[in-house]
Amino acid sequence: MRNDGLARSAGFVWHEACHNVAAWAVVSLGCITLVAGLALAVSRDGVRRAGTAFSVMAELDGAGRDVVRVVAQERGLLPSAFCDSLGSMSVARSSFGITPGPRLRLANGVVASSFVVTPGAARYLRPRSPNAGSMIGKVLARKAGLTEGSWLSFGIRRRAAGPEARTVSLISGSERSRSFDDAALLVKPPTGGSSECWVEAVRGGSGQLSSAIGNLGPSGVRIAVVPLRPDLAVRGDPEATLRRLPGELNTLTAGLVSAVIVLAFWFIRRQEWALYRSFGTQRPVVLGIALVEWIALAAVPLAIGTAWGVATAGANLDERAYRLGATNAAVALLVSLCAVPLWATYLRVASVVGTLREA
Amino acid sequence: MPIVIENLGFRFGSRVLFDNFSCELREGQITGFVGPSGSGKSTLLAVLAGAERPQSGTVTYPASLRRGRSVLQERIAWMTQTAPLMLRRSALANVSIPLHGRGVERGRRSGIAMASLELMDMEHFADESCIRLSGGERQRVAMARAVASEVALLLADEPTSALDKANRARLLTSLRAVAGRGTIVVVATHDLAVVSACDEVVDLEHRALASRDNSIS
Repeated sequence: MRNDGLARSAGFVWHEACHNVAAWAVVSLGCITLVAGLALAVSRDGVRRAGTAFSVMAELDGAGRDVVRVVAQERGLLPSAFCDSLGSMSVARSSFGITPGPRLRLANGVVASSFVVTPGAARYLRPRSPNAGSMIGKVLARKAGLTEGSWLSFGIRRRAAGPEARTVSLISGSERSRSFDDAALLVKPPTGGSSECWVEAVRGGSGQLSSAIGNLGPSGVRIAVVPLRPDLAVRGDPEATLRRLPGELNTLTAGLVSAVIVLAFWFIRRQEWALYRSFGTQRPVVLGIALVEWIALAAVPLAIGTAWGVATAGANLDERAYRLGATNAAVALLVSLCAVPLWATYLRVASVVGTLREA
Repeated sequence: MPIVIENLGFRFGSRVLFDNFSCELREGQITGFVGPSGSGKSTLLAVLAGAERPQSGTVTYPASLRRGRSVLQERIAWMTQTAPLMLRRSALANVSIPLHGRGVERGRRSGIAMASLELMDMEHFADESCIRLSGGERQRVAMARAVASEVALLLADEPTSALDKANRARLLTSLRAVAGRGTIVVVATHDLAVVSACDEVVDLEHRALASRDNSIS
């Protein structure tokens, strides 16, 4: 008998919840898609502005090293040959335990370069990696058979950019590199895409490094090499901040939209919950309906955000889109789910009479 | 077995609605609560429905409405004054929901719901979304839902407030039919036609019980 009752209640809960999820999913879908579109537009615009404003800059990193940034001033790409020649200056590769890994060619035409590093070096590299901790990077690393502690640079280029298109690679050694002191010159992997490189030297070594890089300058692309000068040094990266800001604003927007949906749902559904109670539906059953429909509904923004993020990343924007989508979705899910315990409390303490009188 | 209300006390702030109020509600009878606005008719129905707790005194339910010490909510249908419905759903769905909640099979559910709508002359609106119905039509759907529920206690708060003469007669007929099944029917009303259809009337203003012939005890 008890099992019968449970099955009956479960069927009823499922039926009612499905009905309402179907109605509300439309609202949720519309709002979240709108946020996603805005996020994309604002994010791309923000990055474009950031690129214009801060194409050249210098930075003093937290470790007290001089950092030299090499950027293509017209937002062009640094030629592979130039990057390779930059790499020729490196004497740090072996001491850092960086070894080139397999080149990965993805189904959508993306070519990714991978590098295997020692755990110590990975710790050092990760904070500078634009793709650190990315799900795609981890999956690709696993597929490529890289061991734990390996680090994968996942740059994205369209196939249309040519068969040689790839991420700016790490430095390879050459005769020329021996003119530098191993201890004085360390080279970091590039950040932010192939239009720029970061080269790092111990304090005082940046002048020597800058002139060497300047001599290597690629033909056809104007580059800026900015050695450290204390008066130019800035904490943090304004460009990165500008890139991050639209994302954060959009995440906030996603949270607000979710909150509005929660409130709208609340004002409509709480009267219907009271109505269920007025024709004898027991409180746990009503709570079950509320829980099932809201959890199912909260999953909608998660699915949309993730699908959107994956789709746009696959369409060769960059990984920020993927992350932004996932973050928005996660925030929406969190806000939505936070509402459930509140409703559970409401159903426990609320006066059905009062709620129905408001109807 | 009747529902027995003994020494009920209920107040809103400093306003006393009930103080040592007692009465019995019998199976198979229609009991009417009458009295001016604010005399506690709706509150008394809410107490009987279990939505409000008595602040003092007891309400004793018959075995058909109890399991152990707890009241079987699913055996109570309570039609509130505003006759609220799930407006985004059809009239038929609204009548079917409580039946579904009580485990009535799908085929039987539709049959019972349609029969109840027919009883209230609302079968033509079965598939109509309730948001498109007028106040009186909504009240009839709410009544059809209460009638369809096959409950042991039916509570109706001002069930005829938006009905014309013909529909009021239909509603009273269906209330009588429900009472005929052994259900305890309680109606809170101002409507004299409804009062005259009641087997017993409780005047909440004077706290007096009158039988059908209106003799006050």
